[in-house]
Amino acid sequence: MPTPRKTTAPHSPAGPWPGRALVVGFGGEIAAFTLQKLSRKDLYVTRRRVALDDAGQPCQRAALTRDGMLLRSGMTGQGYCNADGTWVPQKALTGLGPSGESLPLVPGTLGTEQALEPATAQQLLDLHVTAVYRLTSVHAAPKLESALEAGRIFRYPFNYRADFRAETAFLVANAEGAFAVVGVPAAPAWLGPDAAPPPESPALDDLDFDMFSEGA
Amino acid sequence: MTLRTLHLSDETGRDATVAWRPVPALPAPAPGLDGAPVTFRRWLAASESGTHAALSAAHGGDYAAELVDGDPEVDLEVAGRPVGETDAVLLSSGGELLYAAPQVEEQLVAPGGAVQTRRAPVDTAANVDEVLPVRVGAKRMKREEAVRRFVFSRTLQLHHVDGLTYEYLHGLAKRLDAAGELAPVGAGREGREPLVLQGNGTPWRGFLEGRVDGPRYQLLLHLAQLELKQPTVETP
Repeated sequence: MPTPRKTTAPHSPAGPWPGRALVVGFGGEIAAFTLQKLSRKDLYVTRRRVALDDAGQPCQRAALTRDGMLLRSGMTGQGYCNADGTWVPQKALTGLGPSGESLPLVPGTLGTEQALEPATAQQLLDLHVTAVYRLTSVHAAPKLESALEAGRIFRYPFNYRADFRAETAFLVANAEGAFAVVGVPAAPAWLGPDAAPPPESPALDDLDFDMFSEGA
Repeated sequence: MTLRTLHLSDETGRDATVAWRPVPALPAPAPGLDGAPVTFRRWLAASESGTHAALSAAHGGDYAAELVDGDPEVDLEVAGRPVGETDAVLLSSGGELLYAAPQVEEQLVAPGGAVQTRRAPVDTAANVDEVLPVRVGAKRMKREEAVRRFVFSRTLQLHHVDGLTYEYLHGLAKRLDAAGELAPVGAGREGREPLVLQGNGTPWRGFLEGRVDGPRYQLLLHLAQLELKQPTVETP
């Protein structure tokens, strides 16, 4: 695998793996990687807008209630309440499926061997991406390196921490290194001649300072 | 409410205005308790005298003992009061509410976090539904190559709006599908500028993918703003 900063450490195939390592099995071998999140601000010049006061210092954000109360940072709390209005602790919450059924907790996948499954480019194109990680090898697997160098793509279940659904990660590599592209599969609709036009959406003219922090 | 549209010119120079919508992802599981849904609430946790800044000013930097002994952060008159809709406002650096529009500075931030340039804001106009269409480029890329170079973090699905645009989009999807390739889509006279969907929005590199199943088609505009590359500077 063409990971430029590859360091093969003396871990046994059974681990233990450092910290929150990504561990995958392929062709009877085990590969382990450490992960670092990759975002736009790591690679490119980004643009942001900052509101300044009369003294040229950055302004602070706050909120104003409809009855005129000023809410400064640290003045509010938030959480979930049941039908009676009673606060529900975060650790007591479960996930609900489409029919309202309680979903089982899916354990985190880091540090636990995940089986790789061959994937296609089209499956990766259908992924709604939520995170991208660059991978640094800490235990090499020659068969996997060869497969990734040949341009093959693999997928596996991914959960950074225990949650009520597992995301899907795609493992790819190029001349820069190996990467995990994580997200949730999406399914575009097939359109025939009689397909209805897409639903109308709110006009995209509401600007606020949040949107200015992206892009350059 | 409005139909979101895109003025597109294909590789032969024929153009049409078509509709688009984001491809929706499967929704995340809703939170619940014992099989019943729960609702998200915001409430007041403290009054202004209970914020960290106010407590620091009143009791000094280390006020843990005062919190234990006297509960100065708790204001029974307001604690627990529900917070409904609010408006965003700005405060001066000294914490005073601003009643006039502030000056706005645009900063260009280099990888690593250093501010490279400070300047007056430069507005960027949307460019996907203008008189000049966005153009499908001639330089194609195999699907397998594209997914190993770019992160496609948004996908728009192009929709026909009548019989003529059905023929147009179906034909374009069929040509791309047959080649198994993605075609670049860019704005501007040469079709090389990034796509901006809304004023001051994110600039995207667009790649068009087609899929055909008999009379049905999917024409997907994959949007990327990130390459699969190693940073040259480590971000702290």
